[in-house]
Amino acid sequence: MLKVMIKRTLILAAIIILAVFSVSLLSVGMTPEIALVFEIFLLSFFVTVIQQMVKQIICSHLILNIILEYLAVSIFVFLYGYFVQWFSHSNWWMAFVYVALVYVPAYFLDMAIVNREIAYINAQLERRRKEC
Amino acid sequence: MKIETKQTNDKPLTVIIEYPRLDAKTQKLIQKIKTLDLKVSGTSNGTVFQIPISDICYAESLERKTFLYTEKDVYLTDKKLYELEELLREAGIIRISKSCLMNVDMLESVKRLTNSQLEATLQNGEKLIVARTYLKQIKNWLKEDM
Repeated sequence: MLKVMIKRTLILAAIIILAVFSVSLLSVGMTPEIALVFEIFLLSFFVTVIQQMVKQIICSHLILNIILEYLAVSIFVFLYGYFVQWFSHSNWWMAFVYVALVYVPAYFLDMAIVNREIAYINAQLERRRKEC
Repeated sequence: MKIETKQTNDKPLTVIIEYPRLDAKTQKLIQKIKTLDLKVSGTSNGTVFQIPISDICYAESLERKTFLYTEKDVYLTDKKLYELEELLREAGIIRISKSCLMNVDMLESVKRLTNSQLEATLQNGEKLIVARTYLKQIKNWLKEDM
């Protein structure tokens, strides 16, 4: 329930940000702040595409999968950030730090979810065996 | 749910389902019983066999060929893995990785290995690798089966 509420809150927040900044764009034109918001949304879209592509390539090895995904996303964020001038020559490595800040907690969260799903599956199998 | 069984010598196996309303659970039960009669053809040593779905432990795609594994035998089938997935989903044979379908009724347990892979152990002791993406499908199937 909490997971669903957090997910819905984040989606709603994203829609509000998009709507407010779209209105701002129409009324005051493109400012650096508005451009940043749209750049982040565009980046999120591409990162989602990359994540799906990585999952198609390899999906049975959790750590390998997440490392591959981390590298692919970091390289993309670095290139994208360089293109939209988020990073300069001296701080290009920040792309890898920003992505790690997202991926490290995500990895531990995913591990917890996997453990919970495994426990649920095994409990259900045990229940089915008892019923038989 | 009340289960009554009766032995009759002069009739074929007959299943009668009485229900107060045709809800999702009842429909699933009817579908499940229907699939018990389904068979898939497979060849072994040049001979064609009709394999009851309930006998299938898992199906695997190797080098563009699809194999069906029962407790003791292995059969080659001309069906593609995605065709089997569509045909057998209602019978509880679901995808666990890009190249493998597993019969949930044959599942003994699931565990996470130290190398972070997920391993399913079947009742016959066979071990299969489960992809993270498909773990939720096993969970959902068991949830619906309650």
